[in-house]
Amino acid sequence: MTPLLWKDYQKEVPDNHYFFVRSCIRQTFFPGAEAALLDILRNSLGLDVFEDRRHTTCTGIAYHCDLVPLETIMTVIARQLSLMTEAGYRHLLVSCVTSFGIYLEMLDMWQHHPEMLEQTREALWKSTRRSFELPVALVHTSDLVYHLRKPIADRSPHRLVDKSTQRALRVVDHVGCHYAKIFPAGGFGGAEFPSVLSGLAETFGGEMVDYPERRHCCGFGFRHYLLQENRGYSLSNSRIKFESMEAFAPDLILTNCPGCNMFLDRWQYTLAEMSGKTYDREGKGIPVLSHEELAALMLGRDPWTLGLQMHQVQLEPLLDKIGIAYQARQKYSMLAGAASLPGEPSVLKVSFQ
Amino acid sequence: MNASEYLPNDEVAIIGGGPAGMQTALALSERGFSVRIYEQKEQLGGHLKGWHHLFPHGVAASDLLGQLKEQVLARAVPLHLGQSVDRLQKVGAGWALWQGERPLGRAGVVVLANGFALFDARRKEEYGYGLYPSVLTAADLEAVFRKEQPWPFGSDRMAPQVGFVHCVGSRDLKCGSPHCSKLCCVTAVKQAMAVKSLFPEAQVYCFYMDLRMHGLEYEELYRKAQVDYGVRFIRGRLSEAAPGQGKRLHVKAEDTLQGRPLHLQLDMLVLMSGMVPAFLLEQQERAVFLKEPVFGSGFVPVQGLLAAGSVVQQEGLFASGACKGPATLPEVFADASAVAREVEQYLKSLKAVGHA
Amino acid sequence: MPKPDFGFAFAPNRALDLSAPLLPEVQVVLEAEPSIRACMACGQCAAVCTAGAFTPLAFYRLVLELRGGDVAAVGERARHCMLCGKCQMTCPRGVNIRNAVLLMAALAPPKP
Repeated sequence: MTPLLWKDYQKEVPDNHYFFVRSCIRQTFFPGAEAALLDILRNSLGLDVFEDRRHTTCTGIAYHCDLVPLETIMTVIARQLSLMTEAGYRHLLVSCVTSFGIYLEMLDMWQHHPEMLEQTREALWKSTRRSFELPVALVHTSDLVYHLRKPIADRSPHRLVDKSTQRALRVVDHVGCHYAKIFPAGGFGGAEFPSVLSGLAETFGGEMVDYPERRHCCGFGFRHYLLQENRGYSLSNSRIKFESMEAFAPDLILTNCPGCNMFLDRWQYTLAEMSGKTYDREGKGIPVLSHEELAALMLGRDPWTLGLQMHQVQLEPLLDKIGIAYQARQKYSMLAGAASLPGEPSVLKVSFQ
Repeated sequence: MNASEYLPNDEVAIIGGGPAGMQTALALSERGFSVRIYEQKEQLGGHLKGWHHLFPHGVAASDLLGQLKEQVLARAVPLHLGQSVDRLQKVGAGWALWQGERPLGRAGVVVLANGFALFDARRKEEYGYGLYPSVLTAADLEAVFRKEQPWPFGSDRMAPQVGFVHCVGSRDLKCGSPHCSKLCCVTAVKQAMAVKSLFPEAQVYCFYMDLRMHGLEYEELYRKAQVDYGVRFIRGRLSEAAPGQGKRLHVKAEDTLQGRPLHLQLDMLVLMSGMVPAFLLEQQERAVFLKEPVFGSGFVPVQGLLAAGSVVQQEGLFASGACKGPATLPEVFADASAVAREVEQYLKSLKAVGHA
Repeated sequence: MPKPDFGFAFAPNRALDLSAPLLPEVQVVLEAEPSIRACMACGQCAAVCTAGAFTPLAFYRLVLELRGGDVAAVGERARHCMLCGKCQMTCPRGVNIRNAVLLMAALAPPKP
């Protein structure tokens, strides 16, 4: 029997005309990322990416915490889709991986239980007088960035290479669980060997490094993170990943889910404070970038406009390796004027100028 | 009916020149029937050609193969090597054999003895077969024992850490193989002992779900492996094999008896790939096709306990050996004699009806 | 800046590391009573165990935990054994359980 291997699976991604929905976490903690992505797609690549100001959170976090019931989230999703339909689009572009998983889940449920689709249509009509069509394509922003990796790389002056030694930078990836683990057909390469981030890093000249806990969840866990007392569980999961990747001395962690991005970045600080340990050789931590932050950096966007100063693990060592120029004095300049410097951690080394 | 539509009724065509095919041919030839063997490769022997030594006593596979071939040649059984039958067309009470558009011959009776395939271990992607050079299948390990392939770890490794994973592509609905392949457990034990004999300082682990040591002396082999060879048996599945430090693998598994996950670094991981159907038998009214198997394909279906060689729904078509399902060599040989008897009964019944 | 109180802490990975070498005390036990290797965790010993009715003692579990290196727990639990010998009588693999249990109990001698 000719084997069909998941790792060779290529998802179909349309080239243009997307309806974009934002991410709660990405907007809040990584404010420049989505703006940069839209700028790249619309201005650098000339694509049609439409956004409706009336769109909302998908309520995925609340749903996964059992705070929002299934019927509610279905109706919220239906409303998002109705905005898409109203604007005349059939391709949905989702910023957050958890959100992407939610859309996949709802569409899958509606496919297997048409009565639930009918109930949702009715609920939406009664509450808002809106109706919707199902999307023809459901694409995550990392899918699109992967799909467009060659045009992006062609326009990029930078590469994931150490400028002084010409050595390829070592990249570890962490693909969000909700990307392909639940619906393998929703992601490039399926669940075991997703290529959506590794393919991107390799196109920019980086060296992908496999590590034993590559597929381990970052531990976001929603309900486990929501209450402070439970957060140790989430933290412990990220720690398993750090302990595993440490021996491979990566220069960069690449993620596609904003929650994972936040966790893998923030928890390095927390673990350093709790245990005195950092996972790189210099005590500065391993920088974490999302796919759009990486694409924007490679294209030569200013790191501070991109919002990289908001990261816990400072990016300067990586920027220096790549050879990206930045204005150290501009780092904490706000639109309203200079801001006061953040407090300094007791273990994790940060560079302030 | 035209006499030219029939061949003499006692012509038996055997498809497959492995142990089942050879033994069935011998059994029939000894009874005075005219038999010939069609074998798709250029050599007789089937999978037996690739094995090094056989359980439970460690008999050299090449000795057994040599004996079989010698007997087949001694009886001057006509051999059609390099011919792969893919279609059988009913002609009167007999069959015409075809390879694509090429006619290969005719016979009164056809016996399918074309054996099994080994599960393609690349499909269990989490184990990294085909990706990581330290991951082998049991068949690959036999080739290493035969010195046809090198050990995947450096020659400086005096104490390699080796793991065996039972039930790869067997007892697995996800792979479309719900059945147990029956002889992987005893093969794993045999191979674990062989590795320990070659590398006495090695640490060898067998990751099993159940240990099916059904045959005579298999259970004793299991005990011997534990006590005399120090092989460690861990009940639980492997979740994944990932690249570890250097060329080693980092594997994660569950120890279900302790109820705890575990991990370890291995120099070699051996996957016990199961026996799966080599072909899909598609039956039509006057023709039978041997096609590429699809997901969930089964083995050749036969009538039942008393007529275990006769293929369901077909007159004059029989099946011998592992093409009906996983079987050990002694079972295959016993089956060959039983099927030969059924073929003989069938041919006698045709003569009794009074064909010319 | 003073170290913050996070209100939570991390837990270590509970996975056993089989690549860690066997503790010397464990090796001593296995060498002194090689029949321990024949144990196949069938549970016959635990099924007949006198102490098992009241304490967590189950010989096959001691064998598993011994290999896992949990020497203190093995020693403490082995001391529950009443040396009645029923396990050894029924063991289908012929493990010399009485000797094994005494060796294991010696791993964690009682405090004076």
